[in-house]
Amino acid sequence: MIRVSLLTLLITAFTSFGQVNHTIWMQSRMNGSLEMDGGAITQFWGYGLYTPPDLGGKILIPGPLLRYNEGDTLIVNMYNNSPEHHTIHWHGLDVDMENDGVPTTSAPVLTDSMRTYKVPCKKSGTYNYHCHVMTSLHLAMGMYGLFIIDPDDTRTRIYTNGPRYTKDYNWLASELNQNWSDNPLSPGLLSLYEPTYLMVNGKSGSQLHLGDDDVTGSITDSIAIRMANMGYGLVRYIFPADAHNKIYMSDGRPLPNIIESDTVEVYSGERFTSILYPDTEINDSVIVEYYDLRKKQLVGTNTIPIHITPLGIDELTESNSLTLLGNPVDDILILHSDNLDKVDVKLFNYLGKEVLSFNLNTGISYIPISITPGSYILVSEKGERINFIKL
Amino acid sequence: MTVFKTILLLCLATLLNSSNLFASTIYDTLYINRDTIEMGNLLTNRCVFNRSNTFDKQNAHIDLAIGDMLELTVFNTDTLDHEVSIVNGSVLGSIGPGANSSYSIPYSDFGTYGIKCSDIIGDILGAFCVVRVGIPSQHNFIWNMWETNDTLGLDIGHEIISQFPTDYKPNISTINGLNFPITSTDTLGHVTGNIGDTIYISIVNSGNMVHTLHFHGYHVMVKQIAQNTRMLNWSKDTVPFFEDETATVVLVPDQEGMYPVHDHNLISVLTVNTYPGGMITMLNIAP
Repeated sequence: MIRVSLLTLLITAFTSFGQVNHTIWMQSRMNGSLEMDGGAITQFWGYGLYTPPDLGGKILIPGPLLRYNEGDTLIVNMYNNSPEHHTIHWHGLDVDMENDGVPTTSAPVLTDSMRTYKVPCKKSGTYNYHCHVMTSLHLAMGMYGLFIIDPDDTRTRIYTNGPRYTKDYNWLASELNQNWSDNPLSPGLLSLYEPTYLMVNGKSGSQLHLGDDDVTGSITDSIAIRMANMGYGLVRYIFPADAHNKIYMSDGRPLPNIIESDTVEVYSGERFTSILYPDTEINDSVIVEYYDLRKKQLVGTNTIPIHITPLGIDELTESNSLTLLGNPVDDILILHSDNLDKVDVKLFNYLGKEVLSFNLNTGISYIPISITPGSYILVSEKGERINFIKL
Repeated sequence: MTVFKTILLLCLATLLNSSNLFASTIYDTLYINRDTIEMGNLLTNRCVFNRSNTFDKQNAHIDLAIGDMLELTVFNTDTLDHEVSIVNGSVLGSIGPGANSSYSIPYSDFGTYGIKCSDIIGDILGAFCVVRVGIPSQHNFIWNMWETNDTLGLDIGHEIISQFPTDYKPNISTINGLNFPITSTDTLGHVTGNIGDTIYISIVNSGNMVHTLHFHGYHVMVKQIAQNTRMLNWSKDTVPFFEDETATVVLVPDQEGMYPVHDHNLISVLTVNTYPGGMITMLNIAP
């Protein structure tokens, strides 16, 4: 811990007010292993962060999220810990030729060697990074990641003086070909590429339904969604109509006109930033469709759960008239109500999904509950709330 | 006298501001030629609009001023009928083998347009003449993107098949009929310029699938686009071009260097399974 803190102090140098030089160490490796939807294990190549001199640590698919502020400069020491050459191309960041990561116009990072990239964070927005050596293969093998530039530390606007948000999610769509992953050194004709797995943030199918990737919030939230596509086709995100999606940005630049649409189409290499303004309770999914541009066909679909509660948590007040007797709770909620009339109460899980509703009479009530262990919140019709843990 | 001067100045300003001040009737002739070409070590069939009856795998282009009337005569040197159309517009007519037809086509707006063969053979094999209207005479370039599958091209060209396949697997990808690195020798497509120049790039997709171009080093402004009109005036580094899309983007480089521009559908940046190849060209910007 002390080493990390000292390192942070050493590598962070303030250049001028509000603008910071950041230095990170990244490595490229060709020995990643990933469990796919359905349990199959597939190999991938990728990037990971490390703390020198320790070259341990994982490579990830997608690679580590890089997130800095507008005006900052990122210094990336990239160590190629693999048997083939690699680079990092800073996709959309408009770096100079020397740092562009194209092996024919700037040098590749040779096996077991290090090079430094200098990446000015010019404009707030959504970008990518990826390997540009034998890109048709190296990109498909997993060598990519997301790069976000915020206007400032508050992380409340999608671009400088742009619209505000209260929560944000980042979705990097991509693909994996099982045959290429099994035989990356002899993948066959690259033009015959067919995706086996269609992913968002390196997950597909049921892997996106474990709760970690759910969009949650309340009707008081404005929810920023950054969407990028490192696959080879078209990715179409379809939001529930009640989410009221507005598209504000593409490729790290504000659009001249805001587009209100429940559908966002992201072609290979593009990025879009939307904000959702839900105005009603939502328990639905965002549909993610993947199209093969050659066949002009839908080749697969993912869904990302979205749960919007009718009341903003921040707007709720602590309960004055309701008392929970005992917390954590086992199988029965014991509640005391000071209200003279019946009160409607709803029970939400930590994702904001309503799991139970009931009425409380004046005095003590015993409410049997059959719910999975975890954090829950009781919300009365008067906006009062009680948090509790179910054992 | 002052009123007279004002009226005179207003008339003059209106004239100068008029888009068709220098409009005229332009007579031009194109030839529909078709032949077998070799790309890498792959053979395929290619159909083009050329300036003469000698086959050249690069399509011709026409430059006009805003408001010009194009009086176009098209000779069909092929052994097959070809239908000629305004891209994203009306069918002009069909021309039999060895025959010719003339058409009058008005061009009233700035931008990049096209005339193509809309019969299935001419369409799939890439006969597409770029028409540029009102593009400044300096710092302008053309990228005509086309891809095919070698066997499909031969089969279509020899009339063995007459429908586009549902399982299309292109293995030839070109800009202006050339694949990378040969695109670097193409003065029409290889962009050269200086920092601060206003560079106009006319981009059309004469291929059979969407192509998404990624610009290294810069963002470009979409100044005109025929199909995906919501992208008008967007600043982008990655731009999708639908089939038969015609667009004009403007690049004002703010840094020197050599930067690639390529399809980000990475099956399109191969020449006979070799990377880098196919649909890549370069931006070469000097101080």
